[in-house]
Amino acid sequence: MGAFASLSDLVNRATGGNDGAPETRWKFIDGRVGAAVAATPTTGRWTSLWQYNGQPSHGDVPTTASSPTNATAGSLKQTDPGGGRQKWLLGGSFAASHPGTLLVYDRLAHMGGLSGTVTTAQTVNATAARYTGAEAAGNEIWVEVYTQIGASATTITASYTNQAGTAAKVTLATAIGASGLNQAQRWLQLPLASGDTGVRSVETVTLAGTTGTAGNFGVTIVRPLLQVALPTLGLAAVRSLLTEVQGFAEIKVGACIAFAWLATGTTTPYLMYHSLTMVEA
Amino acid sequence: MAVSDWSSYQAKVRIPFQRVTAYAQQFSDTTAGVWSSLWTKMLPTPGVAPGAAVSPARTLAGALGQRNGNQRLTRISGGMGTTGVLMIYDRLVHCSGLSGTVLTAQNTSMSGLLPSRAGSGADVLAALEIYTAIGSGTTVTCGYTSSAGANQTSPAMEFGGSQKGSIAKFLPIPLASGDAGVQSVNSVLLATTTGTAGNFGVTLYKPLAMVPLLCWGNEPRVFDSMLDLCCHVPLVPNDACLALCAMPYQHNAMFNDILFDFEFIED
Repeated sequence: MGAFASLSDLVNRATGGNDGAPETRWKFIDGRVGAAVAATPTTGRWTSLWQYNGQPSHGDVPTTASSPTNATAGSLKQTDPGGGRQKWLLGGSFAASHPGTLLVYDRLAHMGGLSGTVTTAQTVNATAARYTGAEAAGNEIWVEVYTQIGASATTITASYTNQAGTAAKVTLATAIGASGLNQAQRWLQLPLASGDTGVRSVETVTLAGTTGTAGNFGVTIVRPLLQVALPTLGLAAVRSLLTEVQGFAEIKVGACIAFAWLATGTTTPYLMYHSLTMVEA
Repeated sequence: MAVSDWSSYQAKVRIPFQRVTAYAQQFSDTTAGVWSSLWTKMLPTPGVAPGAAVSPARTLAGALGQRNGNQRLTRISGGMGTTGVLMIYDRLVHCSGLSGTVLTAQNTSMSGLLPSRAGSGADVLAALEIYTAIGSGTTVTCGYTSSAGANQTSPAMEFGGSQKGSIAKFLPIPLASGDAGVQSVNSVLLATTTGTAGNFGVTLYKPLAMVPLLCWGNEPRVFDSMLDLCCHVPLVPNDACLALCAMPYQHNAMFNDILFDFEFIED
């Protein structure tokens, strides 16, 4: 396992020495999805930025369960570490046209094509490709709406295998449908069962009742890496993990780095501009 | 060559390879959360609309004009009289002369101009840059050659109007699914006329660094690349045409007293 021997070691690697292979990736996000303005965010609700236009490009709507990687459209496209080394996120600079909170995460598995009107168990069968086995502690389950579902309020649960490999665990019922919980790009976290700390795979989801519109939604298994507060419109934030308690976050081989947004208003951000700096050790 | 250790870094920072001061004229035609290019605002000699597509020289008016050498950007200090964000970037190719009223594909003739320091175009971004204001809002798509050599069309982006049509706006272009860089932007197509021809163009660039500037009474800020910018100490390639963009925190914020020092250490 790689590690930085000292501050001097970090300085050396960050400037290209000792196979540090420093890499800074830039991500521009436009406030549009496809040919139209993105759905209006809801204050206090998470929005997935997966489909948002930008560079590197937006991600596509998944269908059957798959494991996105750093080669997948929508990812940050960072290079994999070489020579058996690990890759570490040192931090980054983040700016947005509107205030909110940005989440940087590794998109471990995703799928789509679920219906907002089916009230029997719908097959998911998504398995985390990274942070497997005992490392699954910390993996999260999110429901992701790709095409707006209905306005009838109901709840959703997921059947999953937890961090210890115990199958048939069920998440707590979570509200879905209704205003603020049904729009495209809406992102809803499913709380795990009591005592669980992570998820290895999600097998099915079940709606308690129909939302009234089929739409299209899916399940995403997520590993959070970094959360960035952007409280001031037009002011960037720098997160330097060298000087923060969190410490460096590992970027796994094949990590599909993606972004989500917790809005503090109801205006679609029309520009986000981020950089993430990584080094190998 | 890598910096060997912390002491060496400190020594290099104490006696930098070079220091470049950049200052720009004040202006207030700004939009919150939207980049304004400082290319035509730099002093004493502002940059101008480039005309035909060309790869701008390191010392062209509008650029920082640093001297060549194996070097890294290590310190940014200064302010711009208002809260916002500063970006320093390598301006690779630019053109102007495009019209806000033409409704057929407008060719840029940028193909083949990407300088060698940009490689195949991986991680090269593109932006629409406004030199003379255009009119009302519309959308634009751009035909480009990706870093993989494929001819692609960008998703539609907003262009024109009060927020994205005034002078100096710098509007990044989103890419088609799967793409992560461009070799050239070949054409621009407006969905509808903006009503005013104006003058805009396309700029290909690679960002070097981005810093937040919380302004309290014009108090300057200082950023060290290693300590304050996440150990991101970017290499500055020879012949890089370094230029600046700024993003304000509110509409029509006045950028004034724009004054920055950039320090570089020998690599």
